[in-house]
Amino acid sequence: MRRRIFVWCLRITLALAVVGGLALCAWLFHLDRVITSTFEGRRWSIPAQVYAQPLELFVGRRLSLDQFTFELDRLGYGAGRVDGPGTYRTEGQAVRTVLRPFAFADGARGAVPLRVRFEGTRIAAIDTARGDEIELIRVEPPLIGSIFPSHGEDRLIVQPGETPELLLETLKAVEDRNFDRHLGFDPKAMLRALWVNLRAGGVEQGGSTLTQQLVKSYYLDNRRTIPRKLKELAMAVVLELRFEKADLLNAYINEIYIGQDGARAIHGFGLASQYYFAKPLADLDAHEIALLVAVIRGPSYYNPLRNTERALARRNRVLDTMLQFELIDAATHGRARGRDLGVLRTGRRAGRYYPAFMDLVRSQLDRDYDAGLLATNGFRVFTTLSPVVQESAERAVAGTLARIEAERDLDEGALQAAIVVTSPQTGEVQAIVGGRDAGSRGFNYAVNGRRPIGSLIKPVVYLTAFEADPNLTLASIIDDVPVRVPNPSGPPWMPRNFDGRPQGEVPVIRALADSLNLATVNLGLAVGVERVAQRLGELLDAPPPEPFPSLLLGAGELSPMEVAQLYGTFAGTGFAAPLKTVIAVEDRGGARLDRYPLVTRQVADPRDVLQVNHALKTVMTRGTGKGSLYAGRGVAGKTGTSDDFRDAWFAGFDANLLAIVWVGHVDNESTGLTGSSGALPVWDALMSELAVTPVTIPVPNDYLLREIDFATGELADASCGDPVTVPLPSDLRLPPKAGCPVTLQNLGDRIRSWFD
Amino acid sequence: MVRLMPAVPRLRAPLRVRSPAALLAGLVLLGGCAGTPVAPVETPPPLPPETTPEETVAPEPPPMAEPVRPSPNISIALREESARAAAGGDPGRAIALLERAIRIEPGRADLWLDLAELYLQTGDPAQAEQLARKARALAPGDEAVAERAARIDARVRALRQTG
Repeated sequence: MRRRIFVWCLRITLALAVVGGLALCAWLFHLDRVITSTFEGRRWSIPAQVYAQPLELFVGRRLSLDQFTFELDRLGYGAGRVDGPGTYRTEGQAVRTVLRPFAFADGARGAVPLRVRFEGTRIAAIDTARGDEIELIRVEPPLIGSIFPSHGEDRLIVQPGETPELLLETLKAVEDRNFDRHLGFDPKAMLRALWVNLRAGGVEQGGSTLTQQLVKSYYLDNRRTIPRKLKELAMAVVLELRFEKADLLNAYINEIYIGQDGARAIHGFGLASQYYFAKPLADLDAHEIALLVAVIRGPSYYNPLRNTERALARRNRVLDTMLQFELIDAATHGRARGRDLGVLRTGRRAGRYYPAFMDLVRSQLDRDYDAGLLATNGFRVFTTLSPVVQESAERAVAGTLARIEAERDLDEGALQAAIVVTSPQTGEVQAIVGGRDAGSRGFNYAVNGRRPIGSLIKPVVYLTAFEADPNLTLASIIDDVPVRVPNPSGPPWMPRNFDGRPQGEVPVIRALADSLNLATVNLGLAVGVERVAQRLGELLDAPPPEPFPSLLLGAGELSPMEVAQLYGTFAGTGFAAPLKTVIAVEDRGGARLDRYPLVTRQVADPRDVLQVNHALKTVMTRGTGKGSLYAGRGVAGKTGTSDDFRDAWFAGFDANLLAIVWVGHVDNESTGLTGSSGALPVWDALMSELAVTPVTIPVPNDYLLREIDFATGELADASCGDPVTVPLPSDLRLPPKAGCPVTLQNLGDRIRSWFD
Repeated sequence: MVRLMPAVPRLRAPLRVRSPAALLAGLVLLGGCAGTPVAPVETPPPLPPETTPEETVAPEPPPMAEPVRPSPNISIALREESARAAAGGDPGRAIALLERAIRIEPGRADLWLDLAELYLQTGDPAQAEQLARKARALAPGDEAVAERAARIDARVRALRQTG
């Protein structure tokens, strides 16, 4: 009887085993299909890489040694040695370096050994290793961000050849010693982990193989249930059966989750290397490799930016493992242990990530590219950002606002500011500061903060007036007298001057330089508010605003970007170049997809613009901008203050650069600041770090430079009046100021004047 | 969302079945793994507020340094390379090189004229006309510039008539 039961049991067991085995096989084939359908030829979505302008080096360029080494540091160049591309050493007033190779949008350049010598704040000489002079050379452009898909994953794909052997070996030694031999899971490792963790009373080791981790990262969400672990294990096995070890390892290198940056999930060692160290993966040293491997176990638990002690402790344990497995020698181990973490500190990281500028890049590209395509195809985007200018602008805002708050007893953090810097001849946006906290994604005041522009509108009024009346000159007399403008929907509008005092009859040059409200309103009404509104629309390439009379004093709202577009016409002597942030887009293979070429269009007669520009220069020499550090340096600009001192503006330019500054209150309250006291100091601080080239205003052939009295507009010189130099038509007859020598007038005019 | 193929890495797939016994054995062992403690689930941490270093000292008035212009050799080299690219049938690169030169020296009228002539070559007379005007506005008294601009204008007119 027992024998029959035994046989019967055996049969049942056999049947169950067969059925179980078949079910298991079916399940495995199902998993295999799942894996191959999504994993095989795993198409990673490769985000677009976005580059700033490369730093151009030429003799005479305004660049200090410190600025240069700062840029090299941020490119991850190794300091203190010159032993290959990506290293540099300071030698007195010179820097010796080997630039990394780079494939620019207009041609590739190999690695170049260089010696750059500085004198003060300028480059004095550039030589090759052999001592030949170099006229012009550019450093590789810094990566300033990536456009990644909406699921937030960001990565920089690295090929097997770019991954250091030491990293692979360390990874295996720490995470999966048996990787080369197991079949997807490692029972010994699991048992060992179980034992260690039980003894430690917590999680010390993981028992998962690299393959299991890959599956977990790749497919499955974070549920830690038994069925999930089973599935993970089975998938790991299938992966191992299907793919080579080297492929799996490379997939792991590119896939593993390794950090978080706000909304951006950092995946893969390639991006982690950039994110934590600003260096390519191939350039990492032992202690840096150790840190990255250490972080994998818990990217936030071991976050080197926030939990430095834990990260350091674990990194050192990894270094010990590296020594134990003879991946590094004792000397390297000792040195590496002594190094600190080496991750870029918060402040510097904030400088490398420019959210305000990136927003603009995205919106420019959105017009021409499908967002999904852009974020997944590994494009390379070359932009107009100048990191040197951007850093200076951020410093100008941070430093000046703090100083103003202290001086005026305002709350700390009460002020906000925005800066837009462009190259007005080309329309290229060099820098955008969207707010005081430049590194974080707050409200972008530069692009989205539309505020009343106050007196910034006045050059448009005067330009329209010059265009409307060919006889109008800078010496023409206009009335700075009270005016009452009827308002159909309420009480009449009665504007006032800033100091409440009408100045009577004034020359145009003075009305604009001193920003006299009454004169501007009277002139604007004579020209016609509709005409001014129309012109403003044309210059902005937008529909004209409502022609309310208050438009003449800047009641209309614009963003700093729009103001930059507007003033680009003046700084560009009548030529408008549409603002742009992207120069070229390439596909992953380097083929050019799109170029956004230099485009310019005449929108105003240079002869009219140059008269306005002359007045804007006078703003700086003796008008509302004369408090600037650059008052005598040939720059041009306009101050602007809105009602109740809520908005302080300054728009200023030199021959090559235009910078718009806005300063306001976080809560839109009054700051008590004017354009001169609030925005101009920020502009000064910015320009003090850049090269300033005077604006040259060419005088047309039929014009002459004459001296006229600033108060009355009559001919005058220093002996009898307060002269200001203005370009005037050669045939214009002007009376000399009372008390001035009649010889100021030429003979022909004098004779003619007898007959007037 | 479109997912397209990157160049690398691609996983090849020879289907080799290793020992099924090992597979089964492993699965059995799974039972023993039921109690394996797992690593903490990662959730993104809130970022610390970013701060930038603040200076509280007013900037010194800048020294009155003479602005130094870049050596004319720079634009010569770029112009020559641009001409070579254009002659070699790559107008896109020729344009990019001139744009690079203009980026360094936006005030040089002859660079804008070079660019205008390139656009004549590529069949864009409208752009050529604007660029020539810009060059004139940058150097109104310059006769050489005026001459070249006038020649460009003539070719623009000719192109417009034939076009």
